[in-house]
Amino acid sequence: MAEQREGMTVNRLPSLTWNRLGVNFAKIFDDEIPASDAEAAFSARNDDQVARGARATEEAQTFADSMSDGVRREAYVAAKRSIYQGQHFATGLGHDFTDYMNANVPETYVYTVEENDHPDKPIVLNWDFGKGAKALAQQVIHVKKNAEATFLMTYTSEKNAEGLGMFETRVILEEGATLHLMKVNLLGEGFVLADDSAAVVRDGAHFDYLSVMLGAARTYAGCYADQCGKGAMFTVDTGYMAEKDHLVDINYVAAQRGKKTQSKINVKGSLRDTAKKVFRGTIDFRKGTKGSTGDEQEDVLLLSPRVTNKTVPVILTEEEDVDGRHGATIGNLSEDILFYLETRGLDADAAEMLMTRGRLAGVAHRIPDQDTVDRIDAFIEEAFGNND
Amino acid sequence: MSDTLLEVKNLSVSIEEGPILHDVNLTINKGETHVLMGPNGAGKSTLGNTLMGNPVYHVTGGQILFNGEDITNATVDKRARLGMFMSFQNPLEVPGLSVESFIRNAMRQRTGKPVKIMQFKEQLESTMDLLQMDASYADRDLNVGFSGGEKKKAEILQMLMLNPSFAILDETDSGLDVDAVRTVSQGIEEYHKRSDGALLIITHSTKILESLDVDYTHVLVKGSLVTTGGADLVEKINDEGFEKYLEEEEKA
Repeated sequence: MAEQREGMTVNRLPSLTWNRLGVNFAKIFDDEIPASDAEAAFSARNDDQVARGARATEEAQTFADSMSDGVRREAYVAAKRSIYQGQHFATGLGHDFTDYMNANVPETYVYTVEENDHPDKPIVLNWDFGKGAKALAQQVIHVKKNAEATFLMTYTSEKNAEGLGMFETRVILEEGATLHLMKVNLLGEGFVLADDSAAVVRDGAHFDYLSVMLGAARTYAGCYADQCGKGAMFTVDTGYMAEKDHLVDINYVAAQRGKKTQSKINVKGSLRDTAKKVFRGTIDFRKGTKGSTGDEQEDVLLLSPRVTNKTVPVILTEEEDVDGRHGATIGNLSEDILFYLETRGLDADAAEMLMTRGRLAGVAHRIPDQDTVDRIDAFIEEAFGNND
Repeated sequence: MSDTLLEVKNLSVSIEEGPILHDVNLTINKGETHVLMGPNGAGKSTLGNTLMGNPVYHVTGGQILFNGEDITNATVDKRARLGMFMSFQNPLEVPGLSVESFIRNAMRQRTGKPVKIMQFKEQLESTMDLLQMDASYADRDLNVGFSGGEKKKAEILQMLMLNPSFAILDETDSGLDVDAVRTVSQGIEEYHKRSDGALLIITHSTKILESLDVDYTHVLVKGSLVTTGGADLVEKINDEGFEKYLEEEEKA
């Protein structure tokens, strides 16, 4: 009998579908995790604009949990959906990952943006993995009433490096608060990256999540917004590029609970070679979320007939007075378009690069840090220029 | 130094369904304006596409020389980088790629040098102004949602920005109203002024030619060049049509 592979289950779909489709969840197997003893170098810019400090992870977890009413809520859902596994502060990657992080990360960084505060510069947190390293890090970002801030988290390394990045960011948005959380993956080809995000979004608050995923052999990204407040808003802008035999596995959930909440999820990307992508996007209208709207849109460019592209748009509803939409555009670079671009002097690689960069530009150019935008452009160009 | 820019020698072309062009000979010198006329299905667009290297068309005989270099088997992008350009009869919509980004990258690819951004933006803006294009089109996805006239103007915009030494205009005036034809004609005049580039204008009508100095007119019938004349040949065809040439070709 074949030996059972050990690993953790992540990116679980809130409402299961046929197992044979292979989209109900993803597995991060223990034997896929690269071994690395070196620690990534962490640096921060502009972080003196907010209060911050390390706290014992257990203490930070208790604090975050106390800011949500998760136990009651998730027990209610779990009772209705047998497949659902309740998680106090629900995250995109899910409880296996949170348990793993809590067990392996001794300290969590807690950032606090004080009431009515509007730091004018983005707070930039960078993990540089250099020639190869690992990083496991948890953050809690607490944005108090009517405050607004931008946090930009970047993961960088040399092109051929390998290593492991595991991140979990929990966000608490009080009434009228806004957080722009931006995550940028510019890792080398041998990385496994698991990047988890979650937010509790109270009355009139806005959780604006942006993610650019360009590197790493296997990327698992999750984001869960508990839109418990009236008028709570959750927006997502994601751009990804996957090549070779790389994997991008995404799970976004908008749990819309308050009245008149809004969610808008936009995911754009390109796949080539034998790359694989799974995108799960769930708009979950819970009981009581009257007058709410949800919209998810995906745009994928397929640059090879050998790619695997799976999309699972899900709209769940317990309310009648809601408006949920989804749409997907899946296209390839046809011979006609390629000829058209070539008549202007672009070769096939340049044409594919341009089409990929064009798709990601709308996402990348929202990042208020020119250095990061330039690095994204350079990363895409290099990927298409040196495809050896 | 020779003034010859393009030499087409005994060119024969086929597609899967069969032969289209037969033994075509054509010489275009630097700065000249040539007009290619002919009835529907004569092979005019095939000639334009073959010169540009469209892989749909297979050269079964003959040679294409550009600036003395044999480009019969050269890739499309190489021909473009050597200075060739084609304005499409039906420009394609390219979602996800803005007009500005496309032109800037194409300029960089053609020259192999970085494009100075401020200088580029000024040039783009003034050229769009000349073509009476709203500045907002620079940020829009290439040809997506453009009207027929806007698409043709976007083609001429690309020609003016890329500044090729030889441009093929494939039915650039088709489907345009009088004002749009006038604007496109101004763009072509500007191209001549800026670079003294050569043109091969494939057309059915003569409106677009009114403000241009035509050096040679060629008539293509059933895949063969049946006659070549000066600017007056355009008028003659306008009056008499292609019937005479069709009959002669059938007899031959």
